[in-house]
Amino acid sequence: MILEWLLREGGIILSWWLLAAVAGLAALPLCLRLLGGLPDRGYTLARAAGVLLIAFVYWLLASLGFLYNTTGGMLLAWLIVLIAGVVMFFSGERIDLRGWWRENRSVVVTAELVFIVLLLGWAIVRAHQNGISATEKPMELAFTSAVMRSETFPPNDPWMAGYAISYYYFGYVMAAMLSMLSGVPSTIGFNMMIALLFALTGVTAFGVVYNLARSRTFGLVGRGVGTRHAVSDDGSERLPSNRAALLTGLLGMVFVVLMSNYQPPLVEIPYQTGTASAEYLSFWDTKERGRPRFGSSADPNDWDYWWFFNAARVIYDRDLDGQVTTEVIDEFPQFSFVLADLHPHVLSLPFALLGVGLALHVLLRGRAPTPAEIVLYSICLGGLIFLNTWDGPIYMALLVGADGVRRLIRNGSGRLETRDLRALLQLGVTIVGLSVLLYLPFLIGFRSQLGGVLPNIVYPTRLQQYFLVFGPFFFILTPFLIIEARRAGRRMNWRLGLQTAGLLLALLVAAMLLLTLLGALIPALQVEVLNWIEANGGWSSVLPGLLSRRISYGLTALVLLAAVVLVVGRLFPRDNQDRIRRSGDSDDAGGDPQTRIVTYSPAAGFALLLIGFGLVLTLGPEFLYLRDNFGHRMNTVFKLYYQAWALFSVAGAYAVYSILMANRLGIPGRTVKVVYGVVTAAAVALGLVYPVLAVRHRMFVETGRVAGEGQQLTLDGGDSTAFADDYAAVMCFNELAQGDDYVVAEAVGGSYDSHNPPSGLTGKLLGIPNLYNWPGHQSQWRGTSLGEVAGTRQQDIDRLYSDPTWSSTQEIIDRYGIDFIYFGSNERQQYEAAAEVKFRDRLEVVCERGGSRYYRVGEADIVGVAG
Amino acid sequence: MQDVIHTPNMTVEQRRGARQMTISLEALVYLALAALALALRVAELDTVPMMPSEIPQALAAWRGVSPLASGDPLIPPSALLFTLQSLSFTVLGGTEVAARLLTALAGAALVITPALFRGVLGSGQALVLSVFLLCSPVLLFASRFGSPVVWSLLALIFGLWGLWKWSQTRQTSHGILVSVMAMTLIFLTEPGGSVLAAVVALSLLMARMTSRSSRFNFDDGADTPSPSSSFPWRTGLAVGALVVVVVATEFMLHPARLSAVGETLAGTLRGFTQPAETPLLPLASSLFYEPFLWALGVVALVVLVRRGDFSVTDRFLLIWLLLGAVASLLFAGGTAAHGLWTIIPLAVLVSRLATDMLSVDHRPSDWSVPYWARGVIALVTVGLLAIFTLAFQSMARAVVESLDGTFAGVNVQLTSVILIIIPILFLGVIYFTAVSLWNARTALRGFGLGVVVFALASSLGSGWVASVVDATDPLEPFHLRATSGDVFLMRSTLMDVADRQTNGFTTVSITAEAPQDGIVAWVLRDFTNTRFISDINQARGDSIVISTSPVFPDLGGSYVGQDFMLEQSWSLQALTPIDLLAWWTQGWVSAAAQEAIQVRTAFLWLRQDVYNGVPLETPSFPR
Repeated sequence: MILEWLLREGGIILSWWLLAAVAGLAALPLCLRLLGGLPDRGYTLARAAGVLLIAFVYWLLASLGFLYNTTGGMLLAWLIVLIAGVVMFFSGERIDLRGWWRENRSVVVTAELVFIVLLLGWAIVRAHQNGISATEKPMELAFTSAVMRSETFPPNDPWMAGYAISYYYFGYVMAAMLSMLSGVPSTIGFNMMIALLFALTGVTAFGVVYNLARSRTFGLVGRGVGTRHAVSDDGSERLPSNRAALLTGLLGMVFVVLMSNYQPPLVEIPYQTGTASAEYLSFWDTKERGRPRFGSSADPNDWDYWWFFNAARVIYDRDLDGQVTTEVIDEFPQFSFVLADLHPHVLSLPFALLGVGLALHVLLRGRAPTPAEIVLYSICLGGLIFLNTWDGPIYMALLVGADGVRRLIRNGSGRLETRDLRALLQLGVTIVGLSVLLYLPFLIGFRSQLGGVLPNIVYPTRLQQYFLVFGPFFFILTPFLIIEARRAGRRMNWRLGLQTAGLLLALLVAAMLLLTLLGALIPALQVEVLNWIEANGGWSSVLPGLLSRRISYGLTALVLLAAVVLVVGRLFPRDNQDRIRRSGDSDDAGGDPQTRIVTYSPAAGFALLLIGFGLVLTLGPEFLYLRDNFGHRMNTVFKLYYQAWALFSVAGAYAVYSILMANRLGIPGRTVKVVYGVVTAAAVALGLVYPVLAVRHRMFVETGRVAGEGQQLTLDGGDSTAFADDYAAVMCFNELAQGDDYVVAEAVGGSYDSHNPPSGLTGKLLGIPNLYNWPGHQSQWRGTSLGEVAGTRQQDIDRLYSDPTWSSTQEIIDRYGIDFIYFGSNERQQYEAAAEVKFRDRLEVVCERGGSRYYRVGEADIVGVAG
Repeated sequence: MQDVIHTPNMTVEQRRGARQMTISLEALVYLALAALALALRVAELDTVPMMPSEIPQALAAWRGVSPLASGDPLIPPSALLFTLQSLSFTVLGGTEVAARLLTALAGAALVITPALFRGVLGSGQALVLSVFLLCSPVLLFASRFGSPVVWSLLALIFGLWGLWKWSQTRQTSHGILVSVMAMTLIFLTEPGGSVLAAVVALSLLMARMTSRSSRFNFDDGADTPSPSSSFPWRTGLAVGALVVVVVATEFMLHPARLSAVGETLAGTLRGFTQPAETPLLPLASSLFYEPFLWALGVVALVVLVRRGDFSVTDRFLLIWLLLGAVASLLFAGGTAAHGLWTIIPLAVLVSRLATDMLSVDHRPSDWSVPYWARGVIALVTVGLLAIFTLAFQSMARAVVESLDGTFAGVNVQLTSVILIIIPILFLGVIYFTAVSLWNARTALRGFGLGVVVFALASSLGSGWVASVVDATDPLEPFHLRATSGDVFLMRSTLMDVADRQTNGFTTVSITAEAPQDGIVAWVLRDFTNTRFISDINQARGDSIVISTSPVFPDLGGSYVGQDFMLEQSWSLQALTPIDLLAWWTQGWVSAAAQEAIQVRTAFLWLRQDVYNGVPLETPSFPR
């Protein structure tokens, strides 16, 4: 079956592989020149960099009016990136390509194999489970279709005719670009993009971790950080073995894209199989899994429909009365790929890892970034704002932090001086400023639902739930931090660590209290901040409970702060004037071993930085959250925990390398290594249960293939997007409609298409603007401007279909310039068949399939009328 | 031309005379060639309707300069031609001449570009090459029908010249010229420009690698920087990029036209990924229109090889010819004009042979050979070839007129056969006579000259016939889709209606059921109130309707109609073996093959009142 499918659709996979490969080739000269600080000179990052750079150039030129949205423009963008890269490559010192190949051929081959295997593998998964319905897939498909259909940028909003998309749509530009270049419709492009993101994330993660581990063997005693020669113990130069680094890279790839949290092995499986007691499940208290299941089964085929979904609903906030207030999303990458939503946080994942790679380069380069490098960083990191706004500031801060660590190591004093701080500020401001400038066409028109920061008074995370979310890293990273503290020896700066942790806690608490106070004073915020308190009798009633909760749930924050102590204490070593003999308890680093204060390698420093960032990202939501339409911390936890997973994954892979594979260190001893190895293996194995079961469930159980049903394998998810007649009618309309200059009226559907048949079909499948759809999401996208933009569209559409008088209908048609009216399953369900009579009496049918029809209203031209 | 150098001892009067510029005979000849080339390309430009291949490019430019033009903006296939046509439309208006003039001038310029290479080829060969280019039918069509291939060749020639000059002088300006021309060729001219650039670049590289000649030996010494390092890459690239952007966007007046550059690249890619409409058309057109060139080209190569006189230039040309042929096979996006990819190198090779034949033979001979000997032989050869050709054509006609469509049914007249055989026999007699009187070399050279002259004359004739006389005949491989002359009649009819309805202003409302980049769209280019539809039912009740559908439309009233032939199209696959000779020599085919000609017709429907001259209420502004 797979072979037959490959013969039929293998060309599509091949074309996407080729497109990614040529994108990588276009960026490769640039990476070789500008990312020379990395051991592989950025080869493994080139693919992600290439896709981003080409998409950026294309989007920028199209937005500025230089290009139309055509494949020709995309080719031109590709060529511009290539030429720029070639020019950069030949500027400056000659790069010994032969030497580079000799050193890096194994990583090149491995990276290519990894990419091919991941791409093909996940394409097979998507061919089995190609559905593009439920959750937010309709919206994502609509954006992709709209970008493909729009003649210019910014692209049309497919569900708000007359307006551009008000969302971070860069990822959809990439998806549309690749779909158009490979000549496939959006319903295939959607699934291929998922597969590509899986592969791209995997290979980029592999590359980042590989470079991190490989850089350990590039340190040279007595020379500066970031040099590329290794010296053996007897002082002779040798080519470093990179097998360990390759294995570590693969491990990093596994951590990022395959491993899951501990909800499935510790909660879901016991729940489904009935092997857990009520107390056990009550202890974890995750969503819908707090009590034993009625009718358990050991056969995964009999488990609950979409059981896998609960892996991303671990954190379960209860108010002081124990009532559930809201579910909190705690996704991780493997879940995202299993769910297969093409949401911005998934679209940005490979490029977030690219950001980590760039930060690593800053650290390893050994000198301040050059202007050309800063431009590259700004394009890539600014692109994160355009991909998934939350990511931009995080990785910009990470890059600046990496430069800080570089300065720490260079200084050797374990302190950052004033000039260092100034330089860091300058770097940060430059990158932010340049990013804003480069992405101004997007930023200038972007409206977000975000509106400030609010205090999280009531809902700190329970430790057991935090453990479920980040359990694998608990086992992998905690020993690493302890061992690093041991390695620091007398240089471990406990005092500074404690001070920093204390200060951090104080700041967070102070911020929380201050915002609470502000919330009490500002009427607009009172509802969000204090409504619960007011509803429960005021401060005097709830304050004891709040304090009790903070104490009982405060263990999570304490654990995180303890980790912060270890990170800070190691990163900023103690300068105690004693000379430390270079011995087995110190890591490789630059500087005189006799007076060296910083005793960790750049790689270790980077891993610590990643851990530190991950800790802060997960600590923050304990006290604060970003204000949005949801009114609680759901989205904040979602976005920040997701990035923390990526950072912990990279750091975790390095931790394993550092403890198990780095041979020249004396700590830990062999016994500790063995124990750590066994524990890590078990921890990772637990985390790999989910992908096996979840993917199997999606591919075979959900599709009915286990029961002998199931359709032909295909990457085209079009059939799942609408009822059969509706889909056929839309495809008929697609044959006739040219360009994007139409307005199609359809009945308004609710978000997620949860109550009615799928809605907004023309916009979703063809990218031709519907008058209005998914008002809930429009509210999220447009924030406070929704009222002004949408006006009375929803009511008018309702009248369009429900009012039997033609004059009213005509008035609405004239007001919005409607060209076509659709009457299909959704309209029939909302307004009944009788509502169609007036259209049938007066308007011409241009497409009819079963009971679904397109009526032509205006003079809009289409290519003929289909029977 | 030469300036007379001032000498200090001359008197004022002498100095005045000395400053006079003198024009050499060579320069005069080039001027004459240029004038002739110009005349051939510019004459009758407006009598030939725009071909379907020219129209999208012209319409894109027209709609760019005319804000009131009906129809949607189009993305042009060639950014350079788009800008040039925009300029000419602005100056000359939206006419066929304006659309084609600048390309015609470029084609004329191409004819005399061999003058730039006098230093490489020699004055004589350069002149002879110019004559070949003047008479080339394919170059003539390409120039007259606005083919962007002319511009790609012009960019290539100037680029090669720049490269040659840079190799001699190492001046930055020449290097920059090379970069600018290369980028113009690749990004601005046409989709095949990249292919041509790759072909020529590879040819240069391979010629240099396989040659031991010092002519292009750049390694002057250990201290001399290598060519690649001394070439002004960055400056050249920057200037080239600037030129591309400036030209494509018309000095930034229309930024969105940078898309045309992208479309050119996309066209290149499509040329390798999509099947050709007419496979092998470039090679076929090259062989069809310039068979003598191919034959002489083979002879030239044999002569060069036997002489052992294969210079690096010859090597380059040969590789270019071979790679050009391969590219013609692989590049499905090639048009008939792309036959120039092989014709140009062939012409250079043959011009060398022809120059040798024209030059005085200083080699020792047993006999005294008079100066007029070759000329006489050549003249006689031309005459005999003419007789042979006429008879051959007659025989070919007889084959086509076969009673049963097979060779068995052919009824060839005896006189034709005799007139074919006799010239061949006479040629043999002349040859042996000349050999016995003078020497074999003289005989061969005279014979060769005669063939060359005959080839040039017949090429010129066939070029003119195909470009002008048979311009609307789809049997010509250069335009297998040929616009009919009826379109002029259709336009004049509409102008008459406009005269009656809107006092000559082209603001009458017209509804056209036709593509927005086709022949009808060109006819209606300045009718500002044209509405393009794709469903004839949308035109019900409209005053003036143009329909291209063969179905008789119901327009909801009384209408008077007139049909106009829009285009005829034909496929080479309709050729049968008995058609080949007549088709090749005279453009004749059998009745069976003619049935394969497809005709597309447009119907102009005037509402009864419009036909009767009742004034319409025509809006002042376009819809």
